[in-house]
Amino acid sequence: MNDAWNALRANRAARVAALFLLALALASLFAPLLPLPSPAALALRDRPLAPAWPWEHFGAHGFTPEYWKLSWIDSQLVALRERIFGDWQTGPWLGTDAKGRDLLARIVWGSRTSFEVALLASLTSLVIGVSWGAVAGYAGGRVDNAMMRFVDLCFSLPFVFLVIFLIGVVNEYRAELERDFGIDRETVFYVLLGAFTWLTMARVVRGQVLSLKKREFVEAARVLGASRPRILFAHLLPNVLPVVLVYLTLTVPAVMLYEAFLSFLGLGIEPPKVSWGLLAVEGAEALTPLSFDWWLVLWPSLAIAATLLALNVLGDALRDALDPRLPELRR
Amino acid sequence: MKRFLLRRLLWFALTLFAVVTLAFGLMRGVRGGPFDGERPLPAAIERNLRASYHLDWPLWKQYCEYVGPLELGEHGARALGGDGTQVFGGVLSGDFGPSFRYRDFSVNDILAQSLPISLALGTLALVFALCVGIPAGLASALLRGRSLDVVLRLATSLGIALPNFVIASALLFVFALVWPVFPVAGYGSWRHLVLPAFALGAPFAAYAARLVRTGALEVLAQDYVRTARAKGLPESRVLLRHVLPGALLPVLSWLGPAAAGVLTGSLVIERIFAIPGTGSHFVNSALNRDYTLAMGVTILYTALVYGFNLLVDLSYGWIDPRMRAGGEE
Repeated sequence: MNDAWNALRANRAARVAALFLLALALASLFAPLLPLPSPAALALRDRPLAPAWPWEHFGAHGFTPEYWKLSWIDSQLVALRERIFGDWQTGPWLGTDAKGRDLLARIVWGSRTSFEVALLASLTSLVIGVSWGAVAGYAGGRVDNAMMRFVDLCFSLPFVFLVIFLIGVVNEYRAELERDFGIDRETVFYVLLGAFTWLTMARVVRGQVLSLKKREFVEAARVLGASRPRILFAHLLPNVLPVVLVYLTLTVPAVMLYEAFLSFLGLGIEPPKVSWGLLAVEGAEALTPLSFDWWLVLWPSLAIAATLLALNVLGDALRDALDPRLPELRR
Repeated sequence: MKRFLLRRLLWFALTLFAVVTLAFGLMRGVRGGPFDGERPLPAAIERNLRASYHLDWPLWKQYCEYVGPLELGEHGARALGGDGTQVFGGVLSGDFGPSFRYRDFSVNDILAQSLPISLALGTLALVFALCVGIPAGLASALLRGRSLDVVLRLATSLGIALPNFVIASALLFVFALVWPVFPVAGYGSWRHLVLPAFALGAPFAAYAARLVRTGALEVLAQDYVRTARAKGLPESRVLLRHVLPGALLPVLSWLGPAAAGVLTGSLVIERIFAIPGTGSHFVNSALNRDYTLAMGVTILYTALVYGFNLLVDLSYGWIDPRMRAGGEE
C-alpha cells in the first residue's frame, strides 16, 4: 500500500489531477462563502455579457442574496460572506447567460449539484455492487451462479429506458415524496442512477473475492474460528478495496455524463437549480445563427471535460500504482 | 455450440419476459393515464375511451392480453363504432397494439416507419466509430510517446469526456452555420445523416481508439510479434496478421455495450437534429404515458441489444480460436 502511495505521488499528471480535483471540491463545498454573484437572480434587461478579463472588470457592488432553498449551513455561509465581503461581487469573468446570470457563479454552484449526483450515485453503486459481488464470490456454487446470472440479465436490459420510465414515476409522486418522506426528487434521481451502475462493480468484486478466498490468510482466519461475515467483511473486503477504488474513478465520470444526458432530455435537474449538465444544455441551445454566445457552451464543457479528464488520469495512475498487471477494466 | 445457442435463447426469453413485466407494471402502476390533457375529458367520453382500449379490465387481464394472443372474452366497444376486433394482437404474435396518443396509428406502424431511420443512423455511427477509432488507436500505439500519440490521446480523452450534445452543437455550428456544407436538421437524404452520425459516433470512436491502443501495446510486447519480425516478415504483414487481431479483441467484446450506448445516445442526437427516429418517439411516449408505444420501443431495443450481444459472442470463436463459444463457464 505504501509502495502504491509513493508510485502515485511520483506520477506528475496524477498529482496535477488530484490537486485540480481538490481545488474544485473545496470551491464547490465553500461556494456560498465565495464573493460570486447570485447564480439564480435574474437581470432580464441585460443582453448576455461577453467574458471580461478580471483586470478590466474586477468586481462591483450590488450583490443580491437570491438563491433557491438553501440548507441551514449554506445560509449561514452566505451570511458570513456578507459580513466579509459586504455587497461586493466579482465581475463577469466568464460572461453571463441570456438571463443575466453570472456564468462563473453558475458553474461553481452547478458543480455542487454535479458532484452531489456523482457522489451519491457512486456511493449507491458501491454499496450494492460490492455487497452483491462479495456475497456471490464468497458463497460460490449455486448462489454465485444465480446471483451472477441475475447480473447478466440486468446487463441486457436497456437500462436508460427503465431509468426514464422510473423518473416519470418519481415525477408523478414528487409532492408525496417530499411531504411524507422528506426526500426530494433529486435524491431519488441520484440513487436511481447509482442503482443502475452497480453491475460492473459486482462483477469486478466477485472476481477478486473468488481469487482471494483461496489464499492462506482466509484459511487461517477460518481455522481460528472467524465467522463467515467476519471473514467477508474484515478479511476479504479490505483487500478488494484498491480495485473498487480504481473502478470508482470510472463510475463517477459515467454518472456525470448520465446526469448531463438526462438533463438534456429535461428529466434531470430542474431550474432554478443548476448542474453542469444543465449548463451545457443551455449553452448548446444558445449556439444559433443569430447569436454567437460561445462562452455559454465553452466554459461548462470545459469544466465537464477537465473534471472527467482529471478523474480518468487519476484512475489510470491509481491502477498503475496498485497493480501494473491489472487488466483494463471494462465499462 | 447448439447448447450454447439454446441456452442463450432461453435467457433471451427470460430477459424479454422481465422487461415486459417490469415496463407493464411501471406504466400501469403510476397514476395518470394516456388520455390526460390540458382539459379533462368529460367522464362519459373518458369511460368509453378506456373501455375501448380495455383499460377498465383488471390488470392481470390487461397483461395477459398484452403478452399473448389469448381469447379473453368480449373485444372492442361496438357502441363506439369499433369493429369489435381485439385491441392487442399480443406481443408474442408480434403485434404491439395501437398507440394511445397517435390515433389511427398502431405501434407497429410507428416502429416500421421510424426504426429503419434509427438503425441507419446507429449503424453509420458505429461504422464511423470503428473506421476512425481503430486506425487512430493503432497509430497511437505504434508512435507511442510521439507528438501524434499525444494529440490523439488528448482527442480521445475529450471525446470520452464531452457529452454528445455538446459535440453535436459544435459540429452544427461549424458545418451547418459557419460553413454550410450539411443541412442543419431534418431527414431526407444521406447528407442529413452525416453530422448526426459523426456526433453520435464520436465518443465511441474515442473509446475504440483507447481500447485498440491498450490492446496493441500489449500485443506488441508479446514474444510472437518479435518472432514474426525476427523471421523477416514485412512490417505491414506483422501488423495486419499478428498485431491487429489481438488488438481488436477488447474492441469486439466492447461492441455489445457500445451498441446499447449508441441506441441511448440516439435519444439525444435525434432530438437535436430533428430526425424522426425511434429514439425521439420513446422519450415523448414515456412522458405522455403512451403505454403501448413506450413499451414497444423498450421491448424492441432489448431485443436489438440482446441480439447484437449474441452475435458478438458468436464472433469470438471466429476471431480467436482459443475461445470457443461453448466454453463460457
